[in-house]
Amino acid sequence: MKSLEEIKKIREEKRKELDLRVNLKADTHEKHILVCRGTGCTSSKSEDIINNFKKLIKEKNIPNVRVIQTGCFGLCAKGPIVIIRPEDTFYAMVTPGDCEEIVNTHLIEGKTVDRLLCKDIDGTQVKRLDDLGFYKKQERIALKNCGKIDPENIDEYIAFDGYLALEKVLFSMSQDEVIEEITKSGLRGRGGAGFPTGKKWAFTKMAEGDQKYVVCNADEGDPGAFMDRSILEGDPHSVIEAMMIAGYAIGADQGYIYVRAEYPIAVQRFGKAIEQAREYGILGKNIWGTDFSFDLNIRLGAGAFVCGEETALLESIEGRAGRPRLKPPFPANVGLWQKPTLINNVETYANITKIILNGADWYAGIGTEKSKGTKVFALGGNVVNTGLVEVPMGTTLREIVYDIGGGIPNGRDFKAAQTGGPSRRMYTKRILGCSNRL
Amino acid sequence: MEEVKCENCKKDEELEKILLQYKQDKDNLIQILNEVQEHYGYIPTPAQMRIAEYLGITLAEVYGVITFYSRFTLKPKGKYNIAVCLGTACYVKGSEKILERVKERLKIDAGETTPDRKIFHRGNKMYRGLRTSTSIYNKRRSLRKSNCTKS
Repeated sequence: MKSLEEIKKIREEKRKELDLRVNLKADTHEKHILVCRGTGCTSSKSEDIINNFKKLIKEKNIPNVRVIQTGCFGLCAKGPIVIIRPEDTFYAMVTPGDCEEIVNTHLIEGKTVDRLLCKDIDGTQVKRLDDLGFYKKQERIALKNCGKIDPENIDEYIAFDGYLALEKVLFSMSQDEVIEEITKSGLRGRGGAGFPTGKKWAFTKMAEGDQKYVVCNADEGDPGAFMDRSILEGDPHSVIEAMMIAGYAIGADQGYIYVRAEYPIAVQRFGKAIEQAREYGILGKNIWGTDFSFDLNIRLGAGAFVCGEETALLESIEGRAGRPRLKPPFPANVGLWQKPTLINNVETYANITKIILNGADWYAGIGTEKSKGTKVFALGGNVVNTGLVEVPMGTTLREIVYDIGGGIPNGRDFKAAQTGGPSRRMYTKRILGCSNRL
Repeated sequence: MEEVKCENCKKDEELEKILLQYKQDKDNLIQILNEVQEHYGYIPTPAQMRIAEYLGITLAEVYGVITFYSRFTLKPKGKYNIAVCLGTACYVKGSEKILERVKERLKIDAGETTPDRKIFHRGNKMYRGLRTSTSIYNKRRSLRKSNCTKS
């Protein structure tokens, strides 16, 4: 158990210590080697890379170096990715065998290993991750902490304003003020239907019931999509915090996250995050001495695509076959165990803390008139830079495919792109809005 | 229901250990089945009976949930699992012939496992890799553009 003061102290001290993660000119002797441990990089042996680094650093007795696992950096095509801070050197497609060269050349001699640097789409060699064209048009809100912090360490999350939004909500905002803020931000559901999130929260708050539930839908089933997985793997605490804020706003004290069993790393990290939050007294009874109590449990899916539909998901949490219920009544009134239930998608939750901290007006200033904020896309198929991108709403497909995605390999023509799930349409060149020569 | 060989299921301590982690509440059914599937590689009938008894529900309810979710199997899976995509795009490119060839070579039908338990034929799932023309899914590796002669 940690008191609010202790958490504030951790935030302050840890933030100083981790300044080198965001500040190129950080005043430090330390170096952090960040290695991506998202599912993609992990399957290309990033775990071995971490172990090799740790072993070599111990053998060669190099002081002030830390090896840290992070979530997804986004540029999965170039994985496994290794980044060395504070100088922000970006090594792509690293193999466990390359570790020795990086340690010798980079850490001991202080030179970069040019062989492992990455080439941008225009052919120039790039030293820093942020210099890549891939990142220039992106705006990272939901993915803010992915690739920056160790997802299995709650202190690192706290250092980057973690659980600050919860503190703000619990001590200075009423339930209605929270809902008003979310409504004003214009945030819409990121699961696909785009229902205004604030409205959903308001309906669930208004619903009558002695017990209410908050549910997070992490049953991401569409082929090729891995936005939610990456958030759960890279920044699980942001989802926990947002679910708690939602619980406070609608008056619920119990949450469930429904994750598909095909995401073992996400399940393990999220489970660990819940444990740490409980240990710190962030999840539990009378949080920080307030009247607000909240606890969270994981429920695993078992390979049924339909369980991504909200009522089927509720059936599955209740331990039955996931057959959708008739609507109405909607889950906001009759949900889990017939109680009013708020269901949001992982990415929707990942935006909440940032809206509370930076204000609804800030969020509403990003995106288009009707769709505010940013959207995360998993970019796959025949593009150069496959991976995870987050762009403001209103970004054209052309920008995503060409400016960020680097176009089609070998300079070939664009034929069609599909957005959303298998039932969505194909977009051809005409809709992409691009001329022949690109 | 057919008898499935499972040497120690009834008195299996490991099954009891799995069960004891969960309250006797039927909401936990899917969580328990996930662990049992992981442990045995399938969900044996005696285990189903024990789970039903533990949670106070009928065997039919347990069976209904097992057959609904594709992750649960009633027969042991093999070391290697093969699935042949019969989605429209793959079908047009001749994936049915591949399926026939796989059945012929392994001498098993869809949904069956070879006697040495090495290969389990997952059957005609539509595999996710729609962009490959004809794909056979083998554990984590997909053999792209395989044709019937090679398989």
